[in-house]
Amino acid sequence: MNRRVTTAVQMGVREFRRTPVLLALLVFLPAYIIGTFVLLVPDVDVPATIDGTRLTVPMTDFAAAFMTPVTVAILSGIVGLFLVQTSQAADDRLRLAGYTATDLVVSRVGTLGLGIVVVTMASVVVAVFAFTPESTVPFVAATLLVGLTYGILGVVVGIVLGRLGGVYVMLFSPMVDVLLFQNPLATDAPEWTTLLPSHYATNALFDAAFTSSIDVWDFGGAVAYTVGLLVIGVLVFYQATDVE
Amino acid sequence: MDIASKGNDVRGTANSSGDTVVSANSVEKTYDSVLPFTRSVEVLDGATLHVERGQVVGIMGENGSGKSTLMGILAGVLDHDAGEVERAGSIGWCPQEPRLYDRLTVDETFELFGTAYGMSDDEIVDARAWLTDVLDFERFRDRQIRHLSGGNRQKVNLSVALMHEPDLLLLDEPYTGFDWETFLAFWDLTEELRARGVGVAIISHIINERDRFDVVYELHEGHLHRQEIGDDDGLSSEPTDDDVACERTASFIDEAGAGSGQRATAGQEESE
Amino acid sequence: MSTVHRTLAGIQASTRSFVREPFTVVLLVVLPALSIQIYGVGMGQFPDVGIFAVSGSVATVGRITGAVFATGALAGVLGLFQMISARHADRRLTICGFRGVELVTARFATVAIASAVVGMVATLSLIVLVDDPIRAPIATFSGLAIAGATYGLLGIVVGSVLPRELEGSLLLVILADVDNVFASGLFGIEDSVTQFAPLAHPHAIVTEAVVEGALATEHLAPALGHLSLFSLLSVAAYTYQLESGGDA
Repeated sequence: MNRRVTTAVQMGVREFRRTPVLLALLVFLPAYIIGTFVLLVPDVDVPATIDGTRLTVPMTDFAAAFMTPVTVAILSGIVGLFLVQTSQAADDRLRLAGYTATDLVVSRVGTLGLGIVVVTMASVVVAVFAFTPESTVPFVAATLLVGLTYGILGVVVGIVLGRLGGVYVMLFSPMVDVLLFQNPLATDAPEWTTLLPSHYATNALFDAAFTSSIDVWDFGGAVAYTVGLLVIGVLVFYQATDVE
Repeated sequence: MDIASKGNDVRGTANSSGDTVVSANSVEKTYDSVLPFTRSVEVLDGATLHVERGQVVGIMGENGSGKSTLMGILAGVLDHDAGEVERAGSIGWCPQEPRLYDRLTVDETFELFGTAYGMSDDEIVDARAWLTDVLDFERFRDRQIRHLSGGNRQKVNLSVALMHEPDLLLLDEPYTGFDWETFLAFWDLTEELRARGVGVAIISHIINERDRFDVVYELHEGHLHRQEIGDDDGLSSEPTDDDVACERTASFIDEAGAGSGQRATAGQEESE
Repeated sequence: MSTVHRTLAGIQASTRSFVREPFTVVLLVVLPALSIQIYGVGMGQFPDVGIFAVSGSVATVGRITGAVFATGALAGVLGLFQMISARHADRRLTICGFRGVELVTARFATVAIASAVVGMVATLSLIVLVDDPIRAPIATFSGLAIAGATYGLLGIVVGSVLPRELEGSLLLVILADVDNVFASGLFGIEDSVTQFAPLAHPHAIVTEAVVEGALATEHLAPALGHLSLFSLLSVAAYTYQLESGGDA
């Protein structure tokens, strides 16, 4: 691989390792969120619409499965937001020193990806303490896709809106998107909710959690959405760090 | 403090005086506000300068006159609204604030930026050894940037600009926070770079150092007023492109000349 | 200069800093209405029966949830960023003569002002967006203002204890989001648990005011209890930060 990219990712990982409070939060917060809901939701069965089929699932299982993408979306979004914020001033300088926009973007996405992997693993580990997904590997993959989607969205929002605006957007959007509009308990979801960032990834996730079938279209849609966001992110990042 | 010799292995193509390494012609820059009822700030209005190989150029002016903006435009990290900027050769830019990665160590910072410049591992090691010795911060090599004092952080900031031996150095108040010894070492280093044919532009507030410059530009109301520093201390000035006379430049030089003999105070000027 | 003078100067300075972030001011006006509408539509997708134990339609509860969340979140993030950006300057002010209690009062007052403004905007938005007329607008405003003040103080606590933008934002966002889910009733979690969530009682006050047109006095004391608790915590955390030099 390109030496610049490997060096930048290496340094990104080292910086990440030197933020113990952040690392602790990224591990503790999934346990807090998912664990809290699993322990506190009523011990009832709930009707959920998954992949067009009406299923009845235990509320605790539902809470574990559902709060996983919520958690990953919020944490990844905030990490993406601040990753670009903290490095923006020095990234200008790296561009001037010889990094191409592609080098920098690939490096930052690589570092972000590692952060998202940490968040995803921490969340999935907590979730599987509470329930066993029907298909674990697709469950993990779908969770990762939710994280990547929101991580890249965090980067874009951070560049466009800045730190304060970005925090407000990341405060609301994962909750609104994942918790409200991709919730399988909903019985009357409007058509336009399929356009929201986490739609395909959360569909794939619930499929993997509660059915034995894997909807390839959902995974394909999630990947396409992530790639589309990545392209937008690259353009926005390029614009922000452009040097003559 | 000895300056380690770098030998004749000079990166870049700087080899003769008289070649321009950067020129700016009629550059304009306004900071616009997107909000209604808030003013835009016109910083540069037809600024023109050039820096030649082996030349040390000073850029001076009042606080808020646009010196850092000009330097950002010369470096290529800031857009300009009008005019032309041409560059020849590689650039080393030392911004006023240390734009570094706080959680990397000094060594890691050299490694990252050296890789960016396309330097080999050996070249990075040599550059690091040279600069940590010249600027006297070798004992801090394993410290994270955020744990360094302001002066040491600035040394790393400057080193990042110098390490690849560029053809053009753009230094924005490079000795902020330096102790006296390092300040002198910096000027010795500048002389060495001049002898090698590197073009150096320095934003400085220290008028007493004017004799170290070949040319001084003063930024005033968006224009640059040029003055060549002659051997006989006589004022030698060229009209700028819009034929504005340099009376203001003359007056401040005269006042500074009356005060010569005072010890320069590195890093104690108020930053812009 | 008297204590009152200095405190007023501190309030003036804090308020100016906050008002001079144009995006913040825009958000204060736009976000409550947006949140109310989105939560109304979002929760309106859920059935009115089932795990929800709410009075009024789920869509109305959704709008109330959006209002409470917007007020709390706006004030909370404001409190957080106030602490993070001003901690070194505040320390300097104490060296220049400001007493800790004057600075604390100034910061609290700014949070209170922001909470009142957002609460007012959210109340007006509810009046416009909820189908039925709101018969107790003052009680509605009170619940929202308490939500804002509580979270503003929580933001001060988080900003004092964890004065880093990324980590502080992460913690506050998670606390606010989880608290909001508890308060909304979306997961049917028992009241004996959710009563400890800071947003639950303001949520109940606003719900009672909007749906029944009455002041839920049984929720007022716990809501004010939370407010008092966070007041004490924020005084302690802020004072500690001032005395420790403002460094993390």
